[in-house]
Amino acid sequence: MSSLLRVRPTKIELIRLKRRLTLAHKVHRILRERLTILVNEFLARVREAYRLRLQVNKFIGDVYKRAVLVASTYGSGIFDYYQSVTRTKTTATIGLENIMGVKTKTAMIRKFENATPLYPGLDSFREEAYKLIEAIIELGRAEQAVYAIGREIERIKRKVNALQYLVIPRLENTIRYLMMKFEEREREEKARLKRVKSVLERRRGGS
Amino acid sequence: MGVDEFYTDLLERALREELRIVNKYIPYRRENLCKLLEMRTPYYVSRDGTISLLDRKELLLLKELLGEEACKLLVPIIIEYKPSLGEATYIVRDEVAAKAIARLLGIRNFKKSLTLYRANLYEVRAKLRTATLIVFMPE
Repeated sequence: MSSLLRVRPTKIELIRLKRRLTLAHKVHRILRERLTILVNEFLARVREAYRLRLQVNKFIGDVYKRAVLVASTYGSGIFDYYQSVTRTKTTATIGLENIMGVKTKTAMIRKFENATPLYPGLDSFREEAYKLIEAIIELGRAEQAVYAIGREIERIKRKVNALQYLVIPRLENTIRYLMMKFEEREREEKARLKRVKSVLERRRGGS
Repeated sequence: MGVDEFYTDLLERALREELRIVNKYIPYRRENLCKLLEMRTPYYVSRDGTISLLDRKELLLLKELLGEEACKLLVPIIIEYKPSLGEATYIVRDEVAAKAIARLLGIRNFKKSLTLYRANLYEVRAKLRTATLIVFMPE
């Protein structure tokens, strides 16, 4: 594509182009800042997701060991029995989270506060299972955010590059071209006036 | 209309649209912290109509930071970015919000509004992920 825009060489067009250039600079600056913040958010989320993944792996091991211990003490039917006699109150709300305009899925867990005491061993199992669920939800949230922010970064980066390497240079080149054209026109006008003046003077001298 | 004219017109519209959508996620109305803490699921509605959830832990942290003034705080806290302030400079104009953030960061000297730099911003965003919003203010 040409590095110049095909425009009519008029002053109005020059003013319009200058206005457009100011707007392009403004958008470029804002998008670049947004990109920087999003990249940082992305890196923070990647670190968080990694930490949570390790945490989930650890909790799974702990809960599994605890479950084996409880089942060996009370029998394998204890979990079904617990589920049948307990009103499940721990709830998770699924919704959206906004990270610099990037919408990601999120979930907030709400713990059942007034838990009645259970058999020895089952209480700590319940606590550990809750921690595991919480960690899984946090991990899901962090990974969702990583994907969504990554996609947005890609999109914004393309726009920033287009503005930086294509739109702004093209506008600047066109403005420079138009200004040169006007200067050239002015010089031509001056030369023409001088020529007319000298012709007139010659005629006056001749008569 | 020629191809180039059409293209430049389109470009101008796209640039203006970009400035508009960059702030589409700002809240339609902000609620005070006490009211949000009373809600079963704290949330706010953005200008584009989406409902964004707020983390209760963050709200409790803000309450702890502000103490008695907690009910005056409007959540989410708006952090403004204005290109004229200089690159990587942000400002919190709300006095109560500025106080909360200053306490979070351990900043003592500030007047009504609080100026933040990029490093501060990252720290704030790490601790108050859902309770803060960055708004772009084009001149």
